[in-house]
Amino acid sequence: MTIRQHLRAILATTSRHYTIASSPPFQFTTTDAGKLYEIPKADYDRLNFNKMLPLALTKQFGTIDECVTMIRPPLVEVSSYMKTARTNFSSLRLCLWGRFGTGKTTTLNQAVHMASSEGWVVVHLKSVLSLTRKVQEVDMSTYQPGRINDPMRATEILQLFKQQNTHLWKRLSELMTTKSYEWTKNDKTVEGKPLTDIVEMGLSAPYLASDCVGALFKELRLHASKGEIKLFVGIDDSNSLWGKTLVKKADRTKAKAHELTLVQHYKNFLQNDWSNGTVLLVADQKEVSDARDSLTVPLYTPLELFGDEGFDFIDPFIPIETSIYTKEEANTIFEYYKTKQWLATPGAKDNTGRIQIAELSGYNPFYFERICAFV
Amino acid sequence: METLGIACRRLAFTTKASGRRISTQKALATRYDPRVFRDPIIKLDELNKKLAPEDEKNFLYIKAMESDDTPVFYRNEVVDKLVRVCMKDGGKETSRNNIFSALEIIKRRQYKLWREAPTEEEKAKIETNPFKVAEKGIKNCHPLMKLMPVTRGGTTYRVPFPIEEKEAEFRAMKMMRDICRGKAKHSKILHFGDYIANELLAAYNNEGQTIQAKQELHKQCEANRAYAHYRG
Repeated sequence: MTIRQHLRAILATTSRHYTIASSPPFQFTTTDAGKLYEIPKADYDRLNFNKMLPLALTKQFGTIDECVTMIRPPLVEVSSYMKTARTNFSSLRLCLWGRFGTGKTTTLNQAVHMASSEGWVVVHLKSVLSLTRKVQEVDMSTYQPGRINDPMRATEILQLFKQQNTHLWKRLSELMTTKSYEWTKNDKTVEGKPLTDIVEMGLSAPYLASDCVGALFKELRLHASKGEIKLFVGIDDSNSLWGKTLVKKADRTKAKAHELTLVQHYKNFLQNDWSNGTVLLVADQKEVSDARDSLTVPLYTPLELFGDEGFDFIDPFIPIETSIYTKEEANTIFEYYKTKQWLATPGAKDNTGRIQIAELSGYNPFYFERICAFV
Repeated sequence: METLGIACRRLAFTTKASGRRISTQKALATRYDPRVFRDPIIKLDELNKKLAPEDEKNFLYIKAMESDDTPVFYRNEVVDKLVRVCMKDGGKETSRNNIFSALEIIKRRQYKLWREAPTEEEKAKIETNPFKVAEKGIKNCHPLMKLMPVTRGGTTYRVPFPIEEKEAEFRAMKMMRDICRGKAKHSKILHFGDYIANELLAAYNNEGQTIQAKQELHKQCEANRAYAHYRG
């Protein structure tokens, strides 16, 4: 009996008023949609969800001291597409889209947990905006002239990769590099060395980290195509891969997104040249919405957000729309909060409270949680 | 009591030390013509009933509902007043966000205490309702007296006056607001809402700077007791 099965057995015996899905995350079917399931604490910490999930949600999980989320139809859809991943079938690109607060990022994180608990190797990026708008350090690439490196972000990416895949580290160290990499005159990773050496190299020498990220990603794709591992790539705010940047070049013009090394590395996942994996993208309005512009209402469809260039690049892909709660889903969450004694105001606990919270939030999951936070 | 009230109002109107002049004049005009406008129905259960056939609301206009009157289940007069007192430049939405974020912080802290309490008895003692915490916190800060300047023979004395419940509530909120604003102004990390949460929780336990300010005021009133006959 593994620890996970043991935990599930404990969960099954604990009596609760809300329904908990009994099947493991990867086996969710449409009948499970609308049920709650718990992400174990160990997985939550290993996947660094405290940093990867939206702030309001991590606060909530911290307060209640358990990470219980709902299985919503988009997640079931994602899991059904992930099951099709195989070596003779090009990697699928899925794109989550929907209004603000309807669970794009949450579904992405759930999918990461799903893949990770199934033994897939996970590459997870919290936000592309961190690569384009919040560049911490600018360094010109020596590998390809004109490219801009961000050593600090690259190190963070490698660190996160190492943390999220700790349980597979032994498996990853058995995979060998398919060619020699000459980082500098002195630093080399020759052919036939473990993949983990590339990560360690990037972590020990930040000025090489950006190139190491590229090499690692390439090796991962090659090994996935060979069928040695299954690869899951989750990129949040991925329409920003074709967005604006705030990086200034030497001639004082702003750099284009494709001039950034890390952006290029993530774009390489979106090509048809590898298989046995899934890429989950998120189309987010953050890229185009302007806080000072109250007149324009940007659309939130993938075509609008990715732009012509981006859309052509990721095409063909499978769009998956996230939507607001149905009545049953809102009830389930309400009942969960009630069981947890999270609703403290007397009026919130009865039927009036249930209806008012749902209607005031407009059945939007984000605002639903926001209202429950103070009543 | 009535004469005292009038005296207070006159003083409040003429004093310079209070900083702000409170007008006691009635509104001269309203955008709602009283001949054709009637007050809206605010209570939910009344709203669901049918209007009586002879009710004027059947054929007259209805005034717009005030933003504080929406019939939500978490309506609380003290919190609404705190929102108004903490409002700056008419930004009620911002102020409401600040106060509600403070309530959220209070609720999270109290809930954590509740969750970690080992026995049921201890759990029962912890108040997790943030509205109740805010009410009691403000209540604990109510001053019993106020100091008003009174000029007699060319000298201005700070004279203690008794105050009514509503004004005591206002002064408690104002003291708390000024303390939190001062702190938030000098902080780069914490916001006004965070400080209000801290102060409310401290006041709930009879601690904190607002309680200190109240006690300081009481001391000064005690010291100036001799001027009480200048109340006029």
